[in-house]
Amino acid sequence: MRKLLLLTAVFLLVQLGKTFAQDRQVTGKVTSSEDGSPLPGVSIAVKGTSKGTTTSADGTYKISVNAKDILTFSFVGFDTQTITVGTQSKINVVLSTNTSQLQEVVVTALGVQRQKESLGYAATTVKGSEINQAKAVSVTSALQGKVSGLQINIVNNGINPSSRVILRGNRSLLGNNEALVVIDGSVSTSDALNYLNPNDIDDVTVLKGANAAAIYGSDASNGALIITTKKGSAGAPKISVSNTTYIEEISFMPKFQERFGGGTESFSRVYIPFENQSYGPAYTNESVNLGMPLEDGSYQKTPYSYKSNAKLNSFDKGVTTQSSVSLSVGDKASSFYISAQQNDSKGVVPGDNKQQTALRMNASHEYSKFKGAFNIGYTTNNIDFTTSDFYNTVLNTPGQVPLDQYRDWRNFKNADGSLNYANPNNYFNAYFYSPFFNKDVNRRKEFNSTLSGNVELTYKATKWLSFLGRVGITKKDYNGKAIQEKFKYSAYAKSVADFSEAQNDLNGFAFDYNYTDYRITSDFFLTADKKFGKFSATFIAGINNKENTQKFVSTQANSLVIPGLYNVSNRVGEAGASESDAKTRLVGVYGDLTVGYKNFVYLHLSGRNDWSSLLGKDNRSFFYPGGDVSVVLTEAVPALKELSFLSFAKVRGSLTKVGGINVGPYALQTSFGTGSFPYGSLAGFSVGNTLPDPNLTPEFTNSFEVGGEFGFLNNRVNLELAYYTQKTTGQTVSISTSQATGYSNALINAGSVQNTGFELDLKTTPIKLANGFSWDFNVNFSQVDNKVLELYQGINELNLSNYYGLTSDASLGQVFATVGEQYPTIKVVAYKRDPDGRVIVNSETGYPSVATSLKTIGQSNPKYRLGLTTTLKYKGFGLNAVAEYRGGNYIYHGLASTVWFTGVAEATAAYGRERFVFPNSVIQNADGTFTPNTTVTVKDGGLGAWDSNLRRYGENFVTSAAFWKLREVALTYNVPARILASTKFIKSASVGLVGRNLITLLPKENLYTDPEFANTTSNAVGLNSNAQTPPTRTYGFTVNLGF
Amino acid sequence: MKRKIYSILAASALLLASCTGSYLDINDNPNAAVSATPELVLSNALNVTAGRLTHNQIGNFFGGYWAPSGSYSGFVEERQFDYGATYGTGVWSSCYDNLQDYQYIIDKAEAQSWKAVSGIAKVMKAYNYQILVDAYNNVPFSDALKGTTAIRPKYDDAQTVYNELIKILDAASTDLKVPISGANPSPGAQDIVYKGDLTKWRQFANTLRLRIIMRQTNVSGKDLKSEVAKVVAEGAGFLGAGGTVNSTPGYLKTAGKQNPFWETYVQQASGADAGSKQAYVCSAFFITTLQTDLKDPRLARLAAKNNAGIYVGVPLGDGNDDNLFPKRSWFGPAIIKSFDQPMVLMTAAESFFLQAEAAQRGYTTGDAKALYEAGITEAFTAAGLTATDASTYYNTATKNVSWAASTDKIEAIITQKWVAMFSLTGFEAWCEFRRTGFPKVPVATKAIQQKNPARLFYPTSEISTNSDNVSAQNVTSQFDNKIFWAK
Repeated sequence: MRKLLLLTAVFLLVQLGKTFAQDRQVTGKVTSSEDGSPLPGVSIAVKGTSKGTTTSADGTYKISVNAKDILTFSFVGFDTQTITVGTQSKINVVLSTNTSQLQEVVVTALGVQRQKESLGYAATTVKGSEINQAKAVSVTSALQGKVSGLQINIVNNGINPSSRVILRGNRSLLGNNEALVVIDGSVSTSDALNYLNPNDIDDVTVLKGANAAAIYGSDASNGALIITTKKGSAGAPKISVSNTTYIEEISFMPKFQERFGGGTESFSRVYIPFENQSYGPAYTNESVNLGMPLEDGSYQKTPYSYKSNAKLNSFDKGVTTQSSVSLSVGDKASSFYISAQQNDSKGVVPGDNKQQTALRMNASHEYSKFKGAFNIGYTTNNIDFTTSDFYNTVLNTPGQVPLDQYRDWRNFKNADGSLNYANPNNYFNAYFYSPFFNKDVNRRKEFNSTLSGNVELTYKATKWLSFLGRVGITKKDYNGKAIQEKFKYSAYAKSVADFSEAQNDLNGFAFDYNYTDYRITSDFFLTADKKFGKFSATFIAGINNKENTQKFVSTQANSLVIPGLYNVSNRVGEAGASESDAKTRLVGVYGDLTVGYKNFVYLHLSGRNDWSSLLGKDNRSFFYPGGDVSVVLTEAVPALKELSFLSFAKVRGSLTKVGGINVGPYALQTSFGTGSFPYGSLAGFSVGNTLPDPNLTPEFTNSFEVGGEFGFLNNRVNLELAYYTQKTTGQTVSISTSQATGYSNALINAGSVQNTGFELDLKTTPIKLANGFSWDFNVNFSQVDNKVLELYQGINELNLSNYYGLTSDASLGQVFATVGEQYPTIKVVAYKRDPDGRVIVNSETGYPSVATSLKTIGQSNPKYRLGLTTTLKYKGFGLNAVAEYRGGNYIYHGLASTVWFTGVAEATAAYGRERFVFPNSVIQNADGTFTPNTTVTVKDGGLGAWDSNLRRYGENFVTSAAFWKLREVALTYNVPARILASTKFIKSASVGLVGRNLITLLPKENLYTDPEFANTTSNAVGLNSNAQTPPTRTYGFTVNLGF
Repeated sequence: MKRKIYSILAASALLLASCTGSYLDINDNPNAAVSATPELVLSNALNVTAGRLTHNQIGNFFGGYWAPSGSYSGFVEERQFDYGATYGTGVWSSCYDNLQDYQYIIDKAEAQSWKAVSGIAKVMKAYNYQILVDAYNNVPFSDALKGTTAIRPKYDDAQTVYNELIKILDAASTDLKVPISGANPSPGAQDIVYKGDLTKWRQFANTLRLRIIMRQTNVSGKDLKSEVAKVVAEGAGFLGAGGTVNSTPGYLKTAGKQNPFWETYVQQASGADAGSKQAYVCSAFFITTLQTDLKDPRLARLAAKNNAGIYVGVPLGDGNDDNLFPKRSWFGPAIIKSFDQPMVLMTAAESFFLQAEAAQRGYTTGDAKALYEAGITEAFTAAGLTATDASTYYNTATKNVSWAASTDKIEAIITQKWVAMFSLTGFEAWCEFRRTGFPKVPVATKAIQQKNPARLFYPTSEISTNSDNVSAQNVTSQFDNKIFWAK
């Protein structure tokens, strides 16, 4: 390397000698302040002249100047710098990234890059550095709170979380509402956000509305996330190595009562040593028996007192180690990027673990008029987790039980010959398994892999015309086995009359499954780009073809013979087996035209026609157009430019229609089930319960959007505003019908949903000092109004949670789409009330009773979201933080009902388990009037009230779903280059502390759990359950090195 | 260049239009059938009707047979009769779902004049509709089972539906009289009840018709006598000795393929306890009635001793730990047999008791006493005892046992029918209790009102999908809004 520099110097000297004195050569190199990488293509202009040049692939430049010249260095996405040449002959420039997003280039549909100012719709780009600032394990969590209009819910905090990503609320009642994910120009699947290595992300452009994404076809009606992965950059090879270790710990547990132990009697408080409910007497700290008499005649003993940390300590601290390495290299014609990442995770549920490996290879090469490229990612996951409801049993164990002592259950006796109380034969609980036993014997192991990538070839026919062909594939394979270990209780345990669980030996099962999802998409399009005087035009036309193929096969043995052998052959009884296949195709043709006048008015029109295999012949073809306009006011009205405080102003508007198909394959005909048939050689069939309209048509989303983008104070303050309204009509709805029709559902076109919303993105740099100290502070705010306008022929509601199998008609909390209400809406089983809203209680028992219809509580999707991000920088130090607020919505806590059932919930001890007058209650008089109740107490203040009666009202378990979360905090230190110079090979180094969800603030009434944890990725958001894992926070340490 | 591009585009558009046709014709279901012949649907439909537990479970509680054990908390619906529209919704959904299959069979079979198959389906249609009326009173009938053409079916008056059921059974009988031939094939093994024996189907149809007629004894202005005469005139008679209507598809010891009663209340195929194994036991009323009032030898067959070796039930409404499952009497060996015991659609004993009541009321010329005693004998043999045991029993001078010692013959008939139907056809027992008040099942001690339940509420699904029609029924009380035939 030294040699090369020396050579350059000699070369320069020679050059210098040749120039005139007043017109000499200046050379130098332009690098990025972010990572020190060379910046190619930076334009360098001599102020006041037409002279100029650009930097080459390695960031170097040379230009002839004289001493008085002033050079301006400008590059998209970076602050422009001006330098007076003076006597310098070598000017190296470090450009710092521009906090203003307004001038940036945005990757829009089909990978076409456009100046942001020309866009007539909302698009926000999140850079790779912002995604990785707190070293999030997945792209999903990295995007939370950073973009207005984008709502990401992590559905479960377990070892293998899933997520729900929606833009601008929900449009479709029962169809897909999740944003489309596009990777390097090819349509992928939404779970890509969970399997992509975040370090591979160059940037993510969030196209918030259907208008922006329509060209991707009907899947884009929900907006799109356009992900661009890193490509090798020109210049010397760059190797990055990083390692992050995180600790994960439970951040929130429901509030427990700490006064009463095991018992289940009504009207009295009797300690029952083997009881799983906590309606016993108050703690006394005396030594009591725990459990049933044991085989050796002894009893387990414990002080009758609350064991404070027994529940929390039943969980582990999770540990995740993430190691990444990447190599990036390129030259004028080629780019090359490879990376590998390994994540090893140990979950908070003891024994759960996951290993993820992600590989990526991106490369391109230009030859003459051709350019070929490929981008391929491959991710594998090895997951081993329990299928038992560990959280549920931990939560519900009576407080006097030293639960965390029962981790090691396998041996019947301890080493010292005493009985092991953790062993199921000796376990205290007569009705429920030990959570530790249960989690070990019920497990699922899965290996899954995703190969996702594309190959593209560009032919640049002329300066203004090029053709691109691209074929992308996504192939996912899931191979898994869910097992239950065999376990036989001892003859003694079975003989104990009270030991009801011991009557149930575990016979073991093995459920083996294989799921393959194969998607191939191909695009062929032309791009014409030409200027005609003051007009510029870009025209794109193309054809798109998608084919999705899925296959699922499973086998099942329900009762095993030989312990430990989990194969379908090792069974008694019939084997279970199932299979299903699906194949769908879609062909689309599209055109897209952008016309610009000067550099301030841009008109964009697009149209697409799709043909889908999912619909009947007469309905499978559908067309949808869109258009938008952008006017850069500061360019159009020169006077505005003169205003010192205003640096940029733009207004925009768009109108679009997008067709979407929310019908599964083979849904146009009623299919027959086989019930529990066949029985041997006897067959049986049953008419299905869904009656489809064979003439289903696509559902259409019409959207209208206006917005503005403004830069103030030399772009130190940037403001983006957007207002939109979207109406999705003629939805494909599996509407519940009266079962008396013979069907429970009809699949028809019906219903419309309207979304109206407002979004604000404010980016500011309040402080930027010459000493390098800077403070950025950004705010994003979203408000969405999601209303169901109509359903079908007087049918006013659609039970979403039943549709998705989350609840039944008898469930205490259910989720609906109801005409005139926000979508989705939570409804609950309620108290019977008098006209003044007071609860009517029975004049003898003092108990309320159940109202005949469900009570509407309110929306489950947040009405407001506020994201705050801030960055402080000083010399090598950086502090990033992201906080998010969501509110205006409700959650039904499914887990609350079980903690009331067992009596561990704090609420169940509100009256000290004494009889009480139900607050604000009335008694109905014989004449139908109501008298306030001040005297009639509930018959039983313990089990009778809390479990048998009050637990039946869903309204007790609904709370506000508002929260504040400190999503990310990252403190990093970049080791100065001069220190690294001594190592001779390390080019950059940084260390950091990172944290996620460190603080969660909830309203006081929410005693149960983090409301973000709905139990579904479906549209029926608003319920949680105890089958999940509790919310956690993570914190860790990261080291990054560049070579 | 430009022209070339346009022509390429035009050509590809043409190509597209021509080839997308077959390229997109891939939407034929490879996973499930989209049509089936009527006899293939018949086997499953019968299996579903016979295997339906919900209505019988509710009947077992409200008819005084069962009580929840103290091993489970909750059960406020059964212990306190405190329930709303979310309780027992399966009765509604399962009956209509099942009826849709029978309607499909009738439509398909009639289209090809398969009289045997359509006749059987008509009998079962009446069977299901009667359950609906007996649980809900007015229900959709004339507008029902029409898919989206009547998406919010109107409700028909319960009496009208009952009248229609008689007509359906009459039509069934006509169909069933057509002899089997090439043009009228027998359903054969697909008929999992009678294997295509049409005479037996006519007897079942007649007995069902008698049940429907006799249910209306409290309804004024009915000429039940002539209705019964028409049934007698049909000619095939009623279910006779040993004629209990059993259904079995050939239950297997496989999850989901065992006898549903066994699988739900007794044992899973894997050998583990069934999910509801310890939940339900005999009520104290049932035990006391048999042990003390009737001194009934069937007690040992119908109930089991507790862990202290005695028969003891749970007082209706109680749920504390005194009543833990091991401490109370579960069901006996005549109820709990094996994973492949048949499910019962109607007992032969019921047939005799219906005839006895018809004779007693003067609707027929039969010998009420003989029919009553034949009913007891039938119940004894079904419980695994002998005809001799039966005659010893009904010759003991105990009220509601011996004909002579029973002052109220109707009470005796209904009480004996109640014992005969224990656990297996509990819904019918609850119906007859609501019609006659026999036996005198006490109101649960903790009931929210000191009354016994009279009905179920229309289910929540119906409230949300057919709300106007539901609210027009104006049902507000499970105690006071009675079925039209109730006492």
